[in-house]
Amino acid sequence: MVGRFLLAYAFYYPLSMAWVWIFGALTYYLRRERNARTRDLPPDLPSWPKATLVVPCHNEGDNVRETLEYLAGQIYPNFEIIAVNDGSKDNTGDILNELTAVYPQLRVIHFPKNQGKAMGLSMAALASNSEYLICIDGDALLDPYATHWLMWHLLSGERVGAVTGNPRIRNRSSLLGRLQVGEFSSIIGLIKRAQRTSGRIFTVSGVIAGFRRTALHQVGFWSKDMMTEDIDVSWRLQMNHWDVRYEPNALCWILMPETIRGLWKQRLRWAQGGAEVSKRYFKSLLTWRRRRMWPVIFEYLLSVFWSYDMLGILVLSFLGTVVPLPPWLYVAGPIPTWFGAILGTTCIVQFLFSILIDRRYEDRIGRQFIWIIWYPLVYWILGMLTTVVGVPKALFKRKGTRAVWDSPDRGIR
Amino acid sequence: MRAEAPIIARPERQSRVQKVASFVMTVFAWLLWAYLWLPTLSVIAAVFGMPINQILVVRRPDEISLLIIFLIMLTCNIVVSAWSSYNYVRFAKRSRRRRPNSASHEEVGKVFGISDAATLSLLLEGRQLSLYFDDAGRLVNVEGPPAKVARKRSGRKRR
Repeated sequence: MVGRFLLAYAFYYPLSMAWVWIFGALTYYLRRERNARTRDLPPDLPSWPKATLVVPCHNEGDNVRETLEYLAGQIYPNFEIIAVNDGSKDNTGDILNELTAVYPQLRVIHFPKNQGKAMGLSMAALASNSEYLICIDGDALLDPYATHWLMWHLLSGERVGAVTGNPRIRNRSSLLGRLQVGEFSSIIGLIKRAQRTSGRIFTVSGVIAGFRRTALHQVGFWSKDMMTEDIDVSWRLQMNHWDVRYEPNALCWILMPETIRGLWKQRLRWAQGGAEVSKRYFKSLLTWRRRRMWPVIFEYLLSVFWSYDMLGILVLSFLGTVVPLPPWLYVAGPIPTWFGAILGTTCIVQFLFSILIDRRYEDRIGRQFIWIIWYPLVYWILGMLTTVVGVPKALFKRKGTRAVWDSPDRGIR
Repeated sequence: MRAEAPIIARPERQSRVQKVASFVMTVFAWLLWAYLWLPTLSVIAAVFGMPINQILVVRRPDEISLLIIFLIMLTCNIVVSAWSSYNYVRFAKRSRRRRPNSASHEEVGKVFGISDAATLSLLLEGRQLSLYFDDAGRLVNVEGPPAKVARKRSGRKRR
């Protein structure tokens, strides 16, 4: 009985969620993307208030020149750039100081010691001359039209607290890199679209997001002790009834890990961060006024349960080969049935659908399809393991521990 | 117009072993996916006259399970469509809550312990600033070249 339940949940949860994301993204596409303006023809704006482009940097000497070149090339006409050199041990600070002579919009804030991304963003908000902050990472390249698209949202509704953009993977030299191209397109992009139609987004992408400073001020800016400050601020904004939106035309080119170790560290941080946020706000979400966040936390808890469910199946399968188990703990072996075929087909349908949508934004995205076949196996295993490890880390983390930078793997250059 | 992507694709920087491994693993994954399709392939093979007892190595489809799967897909569609339509009708065209007044620079400064006008002005105008914090992460000093503007007050938060 237990074994059958574990197997049924392992199958029905991803199947159900895949169709939720597909139908949700289809709704978004039909309502907001089909026949909509193309990326290079953004809508006119009623005014052009100053925007502050914020880029926190920690040991970004190899990337920051290119990052700032892209920032300075935004078509949005009225902006300043604040780069935060957060205790870098390389030449990031010198390069930034030097670039103040090249880019008149650039201002630089130095932290002698590493204070963490949340602190960098908060200090940039403090030093900003604008109500609108467009935040990216120090190794990301912002598409020239992205600021305009994000500002369009922030100016279009007075309760829009944040808008997240569309991160695109730059480094595609290895199998892991190509897999992530597919992941960001067919999983993350689809989920963001679907969540946007439901009215609440699990998280803005920390690598590209626009914020209204008043909204941040109301919720106390970014938390310094959370592993994922982006999930945390997204939840607090939405819990305080600020709208958080998704704009696929706001492209941002990012570097991702191309080693197992780098990917593991990144995903473990994400898993721990999600658990930290859920743990901190679970009780305060249980009020009728915050009912629109219930689907977000409910889906998150289901996904955590799925990870432990998969772990249980693996353990029982292994034990079943070593010692005889009672019938109620029996877990069937990997003989394919119609279930497997349906799950596999759903996966392929999801990939194909996302590629069809994503063709609007990037050429030759379909070429990644051949590699994406690995996604279910690699990322389900990775997702399961990082959740199994990350959740206890979050639950037993000492309160108030500051989250600081750790230079990530940025792939093959 | 689609974006001109600043893609980094340098597979030649991988070792030969990595490249071969990636290829072999990808072929293996596609075969694994094809393996999931054995039930369907078996039925197709049976239709074309292959001996069913040799090919159909899998469990037969269970009609109730298939019905459940169909119902799941239908329910997902109905729930997503209904919920998104409800949100669209209720929230798309109007704000149900008023925006609070914009936070002023002074109000934002207070959150981080900045209350004096000179420091705030330096933060808003300085092009190269150095910020110092105590161990608890409180801002204790702001410096901007060439002259030191704010006094160091280590360990105390300014209000």
